[in-house]
Parts: sequence; structure tokens; C-alpha cells
Amino acid sequence: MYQLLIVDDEKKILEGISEIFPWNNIGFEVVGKFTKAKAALAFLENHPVDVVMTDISMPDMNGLELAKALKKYPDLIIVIFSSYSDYQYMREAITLEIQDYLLKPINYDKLSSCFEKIKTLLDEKFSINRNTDGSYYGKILKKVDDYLSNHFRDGSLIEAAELVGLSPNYLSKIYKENKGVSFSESLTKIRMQQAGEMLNDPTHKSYEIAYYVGYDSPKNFTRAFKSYYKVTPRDYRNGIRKDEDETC
Amino acid sequence: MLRKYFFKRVRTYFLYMIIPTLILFIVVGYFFISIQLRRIQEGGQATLYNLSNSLEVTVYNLGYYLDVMTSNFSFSLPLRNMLATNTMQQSDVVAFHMTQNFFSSFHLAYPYIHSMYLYLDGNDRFLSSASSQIPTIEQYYDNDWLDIYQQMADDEIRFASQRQIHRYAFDQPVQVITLFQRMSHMNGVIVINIDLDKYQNLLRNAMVTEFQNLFLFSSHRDMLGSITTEQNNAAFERAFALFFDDFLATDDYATLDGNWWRIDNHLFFLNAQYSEQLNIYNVSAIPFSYLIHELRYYLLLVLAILFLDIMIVFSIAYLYTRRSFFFIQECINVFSEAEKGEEITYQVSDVKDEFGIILNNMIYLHLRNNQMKMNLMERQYQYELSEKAALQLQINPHFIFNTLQIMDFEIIKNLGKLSPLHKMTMQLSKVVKYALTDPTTKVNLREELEYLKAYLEILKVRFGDFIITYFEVDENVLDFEVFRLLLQPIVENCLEHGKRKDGGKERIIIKLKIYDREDQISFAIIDNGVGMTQQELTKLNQKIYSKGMDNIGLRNVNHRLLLHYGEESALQIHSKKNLGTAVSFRLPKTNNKNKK
Repeated sequence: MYQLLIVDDEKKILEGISEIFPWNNIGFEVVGKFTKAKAALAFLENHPVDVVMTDISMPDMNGLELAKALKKYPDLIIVIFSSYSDYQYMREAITLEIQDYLLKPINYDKLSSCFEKIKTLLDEKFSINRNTDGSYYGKILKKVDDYLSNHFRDGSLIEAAELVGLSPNYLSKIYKENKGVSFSESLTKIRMQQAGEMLNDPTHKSYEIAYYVGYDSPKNFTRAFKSYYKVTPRDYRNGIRKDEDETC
Repeated sequence: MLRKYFFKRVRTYFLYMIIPTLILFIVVGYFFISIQLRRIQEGGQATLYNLSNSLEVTVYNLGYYLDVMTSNFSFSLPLRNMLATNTMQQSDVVAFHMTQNFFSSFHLAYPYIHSMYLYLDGNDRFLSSASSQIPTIEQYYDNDWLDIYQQMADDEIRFASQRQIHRYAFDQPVQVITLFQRMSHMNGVIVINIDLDKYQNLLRNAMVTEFQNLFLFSSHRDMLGSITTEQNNAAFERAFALFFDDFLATDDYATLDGNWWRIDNHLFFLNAQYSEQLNIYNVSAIPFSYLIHELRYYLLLVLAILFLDIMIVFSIAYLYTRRSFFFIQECINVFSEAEKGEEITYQVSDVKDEFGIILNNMIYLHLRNNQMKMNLMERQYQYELSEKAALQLQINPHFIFNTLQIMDFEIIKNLGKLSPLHKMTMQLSKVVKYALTDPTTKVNLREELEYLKAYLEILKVRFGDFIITYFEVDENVLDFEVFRLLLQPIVENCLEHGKRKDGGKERIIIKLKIYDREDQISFAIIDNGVGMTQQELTKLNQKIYSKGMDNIGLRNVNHRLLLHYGEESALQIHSKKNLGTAVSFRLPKTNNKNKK
């Protein structure tokens, strides 16, 4: 577990971000939470950490000043999260070699991506090989499958990743490794099965079904449907089937 | 450049000025010369006429009187006695005195008459007006006339000859023209000596110009006397005498009269006259140089005017060229100022030329107009930006984002991550963040669509399946730069105005199509809402182009489209009542990078 210190002058946000985000899932442990930058600096004197995540606008010392002060710890990784998207701040952040600049309200997939990247960096530095047991992935994948069957219509990899506290890329990778099919293939499969059922009900119009199963364009739906069932939705509705198993 | 224009202008102006001037000079010169030629002709004739009036009439009359006198017995007999014998009778003395009186009266009247002699053939003595005696020829200081007389042909009544009379040794000899006239009733001769110097003085007054030459020739073509003005007097006289002699040897004198002749390599205008009374030729010769002399002032005047002309041409050309260049420079400045969008400082005031004023005004108005248009558009745009900025200032973004953040944490804590509220909060954050970002920062179509989808997601939570949106977007235009909030106001308008008024349950389907078309990208937002009648559509169009204060989304979008891309990108709205509405527009691909 890598050690993380969070600084934000708003207590609620500070607590929210440290408690709600599944830090443990991605290998981080929150070892310090401070509403004052100076207190954080004092803490760091005696308690070295791997990563500091800080807000910018704070009453006693702003986040960039803090980052400047933290330059004396060369191995320390700093992440800014702020509601400022000011160009001047961004530029200053770059000159201070800030790892990342996250905007409030926190976008979870960006947060996961950011920290996964940090973790990789740290892993490389300490030459640690990631080995996680099957049960850990099993739990995650079970959660994702549940999510898929309930949210096939508006479901997305991003949302699923957020749900399990991983970055979309990483989730996609472990999904494929463990299931043999990709996340999007699974999603399409569920959608198509749903669409097939709905097509059997003549009260549903074709474009409504497309929308219902999560396509924002009827064309895309038709294309996906055809590649899945080998027939058009219209033919399917008319009872024409091309069962791959039979033809093979 | 300046030099070239200057000389071009000089040439043009020179032609304009010099042609009429030259024509004037030629016409005036022609008249001037013809007047001078006439003056020469008339002058020569007049001189000769004067000559015949003075000398000839006088001398002829004198000869005539003397002849009449000698025809009279009361005089001829005493005269014969006087000359033949030394002794004079009473009647002879009377006659002698009468003659002396006659002589002296003529001397008084005509001072150029040197002397007069009366001689009867075969006598040793003669009567002389210059002597109070009756001198003998042998003893008299002037006696060579007798030889000339005796050589005269018998049928020759009159003869003129040039002689010298040398009275005293200490004195200068007097040049005279001697006229011999035979007496008509006696055998004798009347001799009249004319003092050439005095006579020449007289003649000079009768001449028209100081350039004129006058010659008297005897019937034997000997030069009797001359008045010449040429530089080399003697040589010229010889040359002229030679010419005259040669000419009369072959031709009549009348041919000479009124023509130009080349004598001694100079051109002369000759007038010739033969006097029968005196049996002499009078010739006037006016040289060509007289004409030149008379023309001299005229030519000087011409040259002076020409010089003045050229000076004027140069100065006008210089002034005009300088002014033109000043004007052109001014134009260039104005144009560049206008291009840079600076305030135009040019003032139309100092140009007197009417074309300049018109051109100036046109350019000025045009530029001013353009500039003002630009300023207006810029200001409207600035106004919109500042309006947004004001809105941003009123609500601190930190407040909004921190609040949203805490809300999100609370929702996740209490309802879990799969709660629609969490999702909605995230979408709302996205929408608010997008809307509050500096409107001048650029976005690409991908970001704009993402934002639009987040916006629609929230609406879907609000309205459920009442709204269905389809996206048909060409993948390769997603990186195309557009301004913020390009599509959302149009979609919003579809929902706002497309809803069925009767509150029907039919869902609204909105289709957004973005296609890549060679040099432009076409956008179409189509809904199946209530649509509009022709009148309603016209009204909407009017509203879009009006300048009212009510802020409708379509007008805002249309205005910004015009501002960014120009007229070609204006919104096109098509609608049919109860069928739906289609809003479309096109963005040029090339223009994109050049605009703000």
C-alpha cells in the first residue's frame, strides 16, 4: 500500500474524498487528512508519504505554494485537485512538475486513471510485481456483470470502472483477461438479447427498441444487430433466423 | 517612381501648353513676317519715289528753267556775247546779273546743288554759278566736265556722271554728280553739279530703315553715288556695281524691281527705277538681315515665353506630382490603419481637386463604414462576453463546484454509486463547468457533443423517455474547432417549441446530423415536434435577425455564426406545421483557423 496525504480546507470534501473513493482497491492508503497546508507540512516532517493530493485555494497557504514547499522531497508525487481551471495555475503547476491536475467535482474515472498511473510509477521504482489473487478480481467482475445486466441501456465502461474504483482502461484489460470477451462485447450481447426479445413484441417500434437498448442512432443499432444476429431487425421480427450453430 | 511620374507629367503638360503656344507663335510670326516683307517692298518703292520727287524734279526743273531761259533771245544773245567777247554791253550786264540772281536763288533753295554752268559750244569761257566773273575754261579749277560733254553722243540729250571738284589745294575735293543737259535751241550745255555728301544726307532722311542701301547709276551703268550700310562699304559697292553692270548687260532693269537677289553672298530685296528726265537708274537694296533684325525682338519674345512655359510646366508638374504622392501615401496610410483596425486619423480637407475630394470621400466613407461595422460587431461580441462574465462573477464557481462535490459525496454515501442522483450530479457538474468556462476558449466538436449529451442525460432524467435523441456524426469531424454552446441552444429550442401544446404523450425525437462535406461541415438538427406555419416561421426569422433585448437561444447562435464564419453560415430553418422543424447550417473548414 502506498501512502497518501490529502489536503483540502473544506472538511466535508476532505472526508468525502478519503472515505468514498475505494483507495484500498487501487493500492493506496490515506495516512493523513489536513484542512491546513501548514499542518500537512509539519506532519510530513516526521511522516514521509508517497503522494500528496492538495486543493489550490486554501486560507493559510495555497496549493501551489505548498507544492513549492514540498519540492524538498524529491520523490514525493503531488496531485492538484481544484475547481480552478485557470490557465495561469495550470502553467505554474507544470513548472512545478505536478503529476496531475484534477478538477472538482472529481471525475472518478480520471481520478482512478491518475492514481493507477502513479501506482505504476511507484511499482517500477520499487520493482514490485503486481500480483493479485483471483478472488479479488472475481469480486470485481461479479460487480461489473451485475451492473451490465441492470444498466445495459445507459451502461458504459467508464461508469462500471467508477463503480469498482478502477480506471476504464485497467478494468477493460482485466475483464478481457478473465472473461475471454471484452467489456463492450458483453454489453452488446446483453443489449442484443434484450432487443431480440423486444422485437418479438410487435408493439415496440424498431427505433424505440434501438433507443431502449442504448443506441443513440438507429443506424448503429441496425448495424450492431445485423452483425450479432446476421439478419436485420425487420427480418428478425418477421421470423427469419440464421442460427450460426445450425449452419456450421 | 516619383521621378518617373514627374517626367511623365512634365511631358504631358508640356504638350498641352506648347502646342497652342507654338500655333500662336507660327500664326503671329507669319503675319509679322508678311507685314515686314510688305514694309520692305513698300519702303524700297517709297524711297525711290521720294528720290524722284526730290532730286529729279528739282534738277529737272532747274535744267528746264535754264533751257527755257537760253531759248529766249533776250537772254541767249547777251549770253552769246558774254561768252564770246570780253566786253559786255549794257544788256549783257543785265542778263549776267539776272543769271547770277537766278543761280543764287537756286543755291538758296537747294543747298545740295553745288554749282551750275552754262556753256556754248566753241567758246573758251562759260557761265558758272560759283563765280562772279565769266571764267575761262582753261583757268578754271574745274574743267574736266568739258571732256565728258564733248564725249557725249550727239543724240544724247542728258547724261549723268560722277566727278570731283577740287577748288583749293588745301581743301578736300568735293564729290559731285554732274548732270549734262544739251540746250534745246542753242548748241551748248547746261551743267548741274550736285554735292553728293549733302545730297546723301538728304536721302538718308528719306530712307525707311538704316539697313537700306541706295545706288544711283548712270545710263552707262557707272555708279554715280551710293548710300550703303554694309560693314565693308567699298567692297560691297564694288560687288553691287559689278552685279548691276552684269545684270543690265543681259536683262532689263525692271526685272530687278520687287525681287530678292543674291549679291556678294547676301540676299537683298531690290527696287529699281529708271529716271528718264535725268537718264539715271535708282536702285534700293534692303538686306535680308533687316528682316532678321526686325524679327529679333519677336524671336526673343518667343524664347522668353517658351522658357516661361517650361518653367511653369515644371513647377506645376512638381507641385501636382508631390501632391499626388502625398495623396497616395495618405491613402496607403488610411488603408493600413483600417486594416490594423486602428482609428482612422485622415481628415478630408486639404484637397482642392474635385476628383480628389470625391475619391477621398468615397474611400473615407467606405473605410469608416467598414471600421464602424467591425467595431460594432466587436463591441456586441464583447458585450456578450462581459454579460457572461458578470454572471460568472455573481455566482462564484468555487461555491458551485464545492457544493456539487459535497452533494456527490453525500449521495454516494447514502444512496450508492448506482443512484441516478449521483449520475445526475456528475452530468450537472459537467454542464455547469462547460457553461462557466471562458467563452473564448476553443473547443472541438467532440467536447461540444459530450457536453450536449450530458445536458440531454439530465433532461432524460427529468422527462424520462419523452425525449429521444439520435446522433449521426461523421467521425472525422470530431476534432473540428467550434465555439462553445453551438448546438445546445438549438436542441433546447427544439424541446422548448417542439412540445405538443395539447400535452400529448407522443415523444419528441431529435436527430442531430453532422456530415463532412469537402470544404465544409453541414449541421442539421431535426425534430418531429409541432412545427410551424409559414407565418410563424417568418416571425421566428424576424426575431432571429431583430435587435431586441430578449435573449433567445437561436438568435444568439445565429449571431455568433455570422460573427465567426460570415453570411454563408447563417441558420436555415425549415418547418411544417404538425410535422416538425429542421434547423441547419454549414461551417467552412478553411475559415476555422483564421477566426477567433
